[in-house]
Amino acid sequence: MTVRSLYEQLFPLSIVMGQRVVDNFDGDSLNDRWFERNLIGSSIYIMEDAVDEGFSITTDNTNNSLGGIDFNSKRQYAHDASVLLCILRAEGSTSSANLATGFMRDVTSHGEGTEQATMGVLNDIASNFSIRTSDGAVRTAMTSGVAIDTNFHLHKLELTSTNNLYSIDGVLKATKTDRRPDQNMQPLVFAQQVGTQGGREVRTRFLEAYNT
Amino acid sequence: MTFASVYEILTPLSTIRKTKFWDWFDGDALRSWWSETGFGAGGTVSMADGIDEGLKLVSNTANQDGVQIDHTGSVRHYSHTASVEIAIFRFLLTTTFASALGFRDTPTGGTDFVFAGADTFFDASNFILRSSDASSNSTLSTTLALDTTFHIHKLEMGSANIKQTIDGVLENTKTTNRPTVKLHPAFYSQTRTTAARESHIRYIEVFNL
Repeated sequence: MTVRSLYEQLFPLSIVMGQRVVDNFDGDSLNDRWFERNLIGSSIYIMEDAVDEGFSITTDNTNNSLGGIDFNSKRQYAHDASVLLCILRAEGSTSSANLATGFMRDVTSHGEGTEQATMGVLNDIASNFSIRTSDGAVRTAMTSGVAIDTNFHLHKLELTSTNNLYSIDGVLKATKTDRRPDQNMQPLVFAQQVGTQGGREVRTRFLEAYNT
Repeated sequence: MTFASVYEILTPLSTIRKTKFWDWFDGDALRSWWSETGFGAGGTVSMADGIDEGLKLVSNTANQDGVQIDHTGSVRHYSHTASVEIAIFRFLLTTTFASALGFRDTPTGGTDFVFAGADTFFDASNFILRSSDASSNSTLSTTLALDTTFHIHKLEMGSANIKQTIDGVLENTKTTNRPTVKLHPAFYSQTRTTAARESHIRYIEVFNL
């Protein structure tokens, strides 16, 4: 059956839908819902001129250079009842890098003192894709068991009241129960080189986040 | 069932889809496809920093001050006889204010319009449906009492009537004083006292049938 409203494809009209964002990272420039944030150094943000390559963030050569896109502290997503889906890949080297997406409380500091739940290439676990969370005091990581590569994968993060679930390409790979965020969150995608490695790049083609 | 295209989720390929847009009111800033129109001394429009709170519209403090998001009076894509508007919004107070979702001909003034929401000048207790054919306007009340929670409001503009639905329940079928010209969507928050009034909108979808 074809229903004419998008709303009714997602929910019946008797249910009030929660906050949601859907971005296909298409066209000439980044949608104005995003804020480009250079925390360290000056990263480059561009739409790629290539089939299926979406939007790119590339760090410069500054020590620990870190750039990302976020909602400029409009935190509309719940730490215990939200989902984030992102198609993402690393371009080039994945060593000594954080090339990831997820939710974060304070995007002006990616340190362990800010509540966060991120996933992708994270320097804590160098060989495998991983999930990393912080409760605002301590940050810990858990491996997915999936070896890092430079292909696009669909990463899914599900924040619930009891755990943070990390799936890759539709398969649950990690269930994290410790050090979970406990405040309102915003989505982000970011790239960081750890040290002075010569720049690191992440590309994303799609992001969707919603409260459950 | 899965679909390869968004088009086919909403419309079969044998049907040429008409104008449609939706907005989740997410992220750092309001999309540039919206214009902001002030009533009196106006008000402010900004993204809310809160779970599920979307975009917030806050009037200034003089009586009748208000602010509206719309598509201006010169970009009117929607039919007064065959269109639908769906939105999720709420008010932060339910006294001496007006706030509603709707369609209108020009951004301000008493020309053709239809609005579903609240205006305590016309009904201090319940949600209402109000419309104008440019010469006269009239109001119907719903059975739903004003509150501060999010509801999903739906307006269906037909050739014979306007239907108002709240949370999936049909509240009004209005046949009088309906718009007679093409329209653009709008949502506003206005004070009817000497203090600010605030409304939040989380989602809107508009399309022609």
